[in-house]
Amino acid sequence: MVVFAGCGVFLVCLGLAGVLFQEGYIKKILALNLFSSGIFLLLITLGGGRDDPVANAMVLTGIVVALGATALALALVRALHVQENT
Amino acid sequence: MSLVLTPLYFALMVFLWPKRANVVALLGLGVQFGLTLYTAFWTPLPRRITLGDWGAPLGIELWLSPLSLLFCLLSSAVFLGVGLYANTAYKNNHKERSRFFVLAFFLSLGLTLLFVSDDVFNLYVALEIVGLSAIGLSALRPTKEALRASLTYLFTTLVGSGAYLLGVALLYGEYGVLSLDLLSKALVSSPTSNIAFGLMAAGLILKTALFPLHFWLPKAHANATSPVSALLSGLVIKGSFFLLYRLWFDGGLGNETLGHGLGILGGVGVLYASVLALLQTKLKRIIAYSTVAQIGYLFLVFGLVKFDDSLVPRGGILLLALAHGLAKAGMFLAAGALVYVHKKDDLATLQGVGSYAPLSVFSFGIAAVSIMGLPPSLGFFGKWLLLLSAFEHREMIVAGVFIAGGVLSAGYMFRPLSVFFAKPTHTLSLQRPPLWLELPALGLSLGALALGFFTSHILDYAHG
Repeated sequence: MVVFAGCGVFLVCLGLAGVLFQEGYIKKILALNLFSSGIFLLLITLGGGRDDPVANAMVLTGIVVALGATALALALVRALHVQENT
Repeated sequence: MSLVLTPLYFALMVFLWPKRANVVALLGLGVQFGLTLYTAFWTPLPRRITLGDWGAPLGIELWLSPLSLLFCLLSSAVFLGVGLYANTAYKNNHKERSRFFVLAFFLSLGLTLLFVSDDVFNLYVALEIVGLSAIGLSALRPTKEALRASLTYLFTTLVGSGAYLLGVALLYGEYGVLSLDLLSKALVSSPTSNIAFGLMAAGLILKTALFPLHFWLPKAHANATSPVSALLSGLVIKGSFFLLYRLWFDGGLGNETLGHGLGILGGVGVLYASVLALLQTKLKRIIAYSTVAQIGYLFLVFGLVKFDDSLVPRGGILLLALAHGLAKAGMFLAAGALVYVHKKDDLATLQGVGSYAPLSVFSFGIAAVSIMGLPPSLGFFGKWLLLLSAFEHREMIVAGVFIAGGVLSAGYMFRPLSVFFAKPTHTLSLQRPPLWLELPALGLSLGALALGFFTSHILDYAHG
């Protein structure tokens, strides 16, 4: 429990630092995914563990949102790349 | 429920029939507006809706209060105006038009859900729908500047909703419920709930662009196409503000220290952004900085309620939020009509624009009246109530911020107006913008002005 919570906090901090201080959009997107993974880990740990269906449902929804956000971010980076090369 | 689902149906229909986007989309926006009116005035309020007969704590509940319906009305009215504008502005570009309407319907869906949901996790989902569709909209015309601004906007808004979700996780761990209603009953002041609310508030003020977290807003709002700027400035920031307001007052999560801090940031933000608005040379930048300043006013309420727990400051903020939604959307649309002809929004090139687009300049002026807070506009009554509350409790610094902010806003609004009315420097014979680009701006701006006459009705309705 403490290990998971600690890992969660560490991932959140690491991800946040990455989003703020990393140069380059791809690195920022990776950092954002670390950030949300940390949040999901905390959600499960704090919200009653593996057996809590509501916490599981929340994480599942969160993962879908993170996936959508990552796809949108990548699409934007790609469009920017095309614009910069023309 | 159909209030939330209507935009979804129409988003799918526009997606399926992009060529008929004009008819389908305007029909959808009209239906949405009518449905909101019906729900607001002809159904019993407030009422709780249990989705699929699964009540809290396991299921998701919606809470339809007069306050949330007022914001739904604001949202559907602005969408209707912006939709009419966009229909004309994109009439030669079917692809862009259908993309705009699909994303706009998703934005409308997210905002409506944000206004009526009563479940903190469901509210997170609504927040993400709003955020992601807003980003999609801001990148609608993929220029380099717009894409860079959208990416900054994306990282900001995702970090903001991440912080909110962390707060939800802490609250769920502590109390085991997600319904705001149950949460407010179970809530006790503890370090965990304070940290949780601190995280949620931090995420939400980042998304609302309160000074000093406003860095992303001017770029994102000024580089988007005009109808998108109108939606972003008029509505999207009200979504995250509304959520903070709900958590604060209905959820009982607010506390005095934080309120004081937010009040101070709001006050500094008003002055700082107003001065920056005075220094801008591009029209849409001026309007965007004015949005940052107006957001500052909205946050002053959290500082004032410490002294005044009557409904006066809350009523003031409600009026100000509605006024800003209508006036700022109207102003961006009016600016859009001017830019439509000129292709540029530098103040220097817009000199003398009043002689061939008088209607748009008129709408801009009417919207400016509400933004500056001159009577009889809705913006005036909002500021008036807040000023009354500040005087009553001897909060002279707050009162001073209001007066200084008012003077500064007059400065940054009169500057573009004086440019519009100056003698044209060029002899190009420019066309008038199409009528249907000019009318929506006029409607929204006049709405912000005329609703000032119904202030007491609005307040009675909201608090009744």
